[in-house]
Amino acid sequence: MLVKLFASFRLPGIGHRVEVDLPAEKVTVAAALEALFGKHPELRGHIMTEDGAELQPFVQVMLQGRLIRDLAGLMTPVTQADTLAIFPPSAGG
Amino acid sequence: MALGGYAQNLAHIDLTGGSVSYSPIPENLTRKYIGGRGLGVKFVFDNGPAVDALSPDNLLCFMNGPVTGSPVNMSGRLAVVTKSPLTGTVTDSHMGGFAAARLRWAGFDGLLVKGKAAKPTYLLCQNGKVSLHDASTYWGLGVRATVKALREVHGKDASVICIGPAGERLVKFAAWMNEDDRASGRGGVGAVGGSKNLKAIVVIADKSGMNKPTPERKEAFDAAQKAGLKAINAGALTAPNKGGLSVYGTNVLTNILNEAGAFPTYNGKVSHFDQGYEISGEAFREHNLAGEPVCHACPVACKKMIEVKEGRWKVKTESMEYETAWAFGAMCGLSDREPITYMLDQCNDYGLDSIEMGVTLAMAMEASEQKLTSEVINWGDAEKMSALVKQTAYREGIGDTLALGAYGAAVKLGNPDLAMSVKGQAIPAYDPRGVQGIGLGYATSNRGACHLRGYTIASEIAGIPFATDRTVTEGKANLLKVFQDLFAFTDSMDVCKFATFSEGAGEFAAQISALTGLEISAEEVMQTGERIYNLERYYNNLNGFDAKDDTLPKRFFTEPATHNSAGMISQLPVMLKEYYELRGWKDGKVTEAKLKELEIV
Repeated sequence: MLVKLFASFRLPGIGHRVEVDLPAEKVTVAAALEALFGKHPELRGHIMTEDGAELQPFVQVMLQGRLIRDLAGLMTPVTQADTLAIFPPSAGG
Repeated sequence: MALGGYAQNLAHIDLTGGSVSYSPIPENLTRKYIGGRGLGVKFVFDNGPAVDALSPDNLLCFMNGPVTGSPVNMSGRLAVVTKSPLTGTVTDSHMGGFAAARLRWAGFDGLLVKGKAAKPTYLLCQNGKVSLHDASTYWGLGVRATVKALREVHGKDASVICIGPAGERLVKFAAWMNEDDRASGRGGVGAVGGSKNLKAIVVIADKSGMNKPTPERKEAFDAAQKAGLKAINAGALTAPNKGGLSVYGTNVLTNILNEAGAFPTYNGKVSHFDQGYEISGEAFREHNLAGEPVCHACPVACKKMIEVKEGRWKVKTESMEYETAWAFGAMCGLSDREPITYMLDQCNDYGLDSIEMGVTLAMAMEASEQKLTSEVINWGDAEKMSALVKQTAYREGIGDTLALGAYGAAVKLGNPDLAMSVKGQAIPAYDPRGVQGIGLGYATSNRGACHLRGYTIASEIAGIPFATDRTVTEGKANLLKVFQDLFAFTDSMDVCKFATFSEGAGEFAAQISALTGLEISAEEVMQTGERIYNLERYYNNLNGFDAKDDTLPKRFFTEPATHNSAGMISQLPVMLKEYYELRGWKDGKVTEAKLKELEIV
């Protein structure tokens, strides 16, 4: 699946778009993130809490433009055809 | 009782007679309206709602709040408050930088300007006194040249707040600008200056410290200030050099809203810009960042100075905000950062609101598609856009029509529905189809379409102070009311909106109470904000505004959003009904009972 990484989550030399292979056709966002961390372990601490149970406060993950907090959180189902977008804490105006 | 914080010095300037008088702030008004926006609105209300915005009788207020220029963080703000020539409503538009703090250190709570000078005039504010001077030499100059020339006369440390050619020509969205390119941009407050032949305000701050706001309870004030700073430094969204706002500026939002499919594009015909990344805060930081200036007492440094180093669009300017990048970018179908940067600089020098300018160009492009314009204006045609910005500022050719703003120009061109405006003012960069609450915010804003009256995006996108689902309507009326009331208070203190990302009513109550000696609780913060919001609404009601005006451009009800908000339209009517009930308004009008309850009458 395509994972887009924005602002300070972008990867030096790689940029903001990463292709990730999911372990199965249909998994959860949590499993998709694990697949991302498997490829880029340096991201884990910025995105997940230390115990790995939750997203860091105000880190936002969108699945097809919907914030997963408004869906089923980390348990939201995703497929290989979906796109995840991950943003560090951000606001403006 | 003597209050801390305030200078207790309002200057009343009669440009017609060339006289100045001074008064303290009426004691009964400080607690009720605080300062800044609140007090300014009260003065504009008392001046009479029927006044013509561009007549000598309109009152033009430059208002500090009691914390302006104090150690309270993010307190480098002043409010320009007047009747808007763009909307016909009351309006307030705030600028940052250091001009506001210097105005306080020059010994003023505010400047209340009426009348019309016989010739171009500037005000010199120093040691608590205002003098009037001939500005004929400076009339016709751009903002940068005006600042430079007046600093040559009054010294490099002088702040210069001025209008450019757009304000002189009464462009309906002309701005007041200061020496740091900070703008009181919205609502055409600069045109009110032009109508009065008022070119500039020069501020010379006292350097001895004697005019700095003095806290009534110093120990408590120091503690309240430190608590606020701690919250800002620790806040995930505001943390200096760490939070997205500090690192990328407000334009960190482009990719977020664009990914959500809530980024009005091609005049709102769609809600996603395929080339959005090219105009994002990330791209500007990577390719164009030239500096990160700050405002008074601000650790966040969200301002981003940017530069095009060579070529046709060579320029260095600040600050590339989310709104500006969007207005000239996605709304007009332009993904080239260089001309966008150049047009920002044009707006800064001509003294134009970049939001209204970009949205007006987008409207003109769609009008051109419909063969409503006398000349072809293609989407994303940077050369044409830049030429039109200049023509607008100088009111030349079709620019004379565009100078009316998106709505006024669309009416003149024959299709008002092409204007993405509410109450005559252009929308900002959030699509009300993809983010439901902000649509209610646009519709009920007392100064025309605006995100800063009630920034529900904080909740609907960023998740503060709590998260809400952007796609639903439930709870949005109450959410918006809370934001509107809180912001009416913080605009009156006057502190930056971004302080509210990490501080709440409790922190603000502690700061203002210790500073002034007025004991104001968190509940009173909200009630005071509600009073100010209702006074503004009442002013507008007296000008004929009611429920019919609390709406959105037709497009947002009839043409669904695209991309990741595909199919969504605004559900405004559902939210509006609940909102009026919460406000206690009938048909968009403040009731007699509410006026009494809030002690407005």
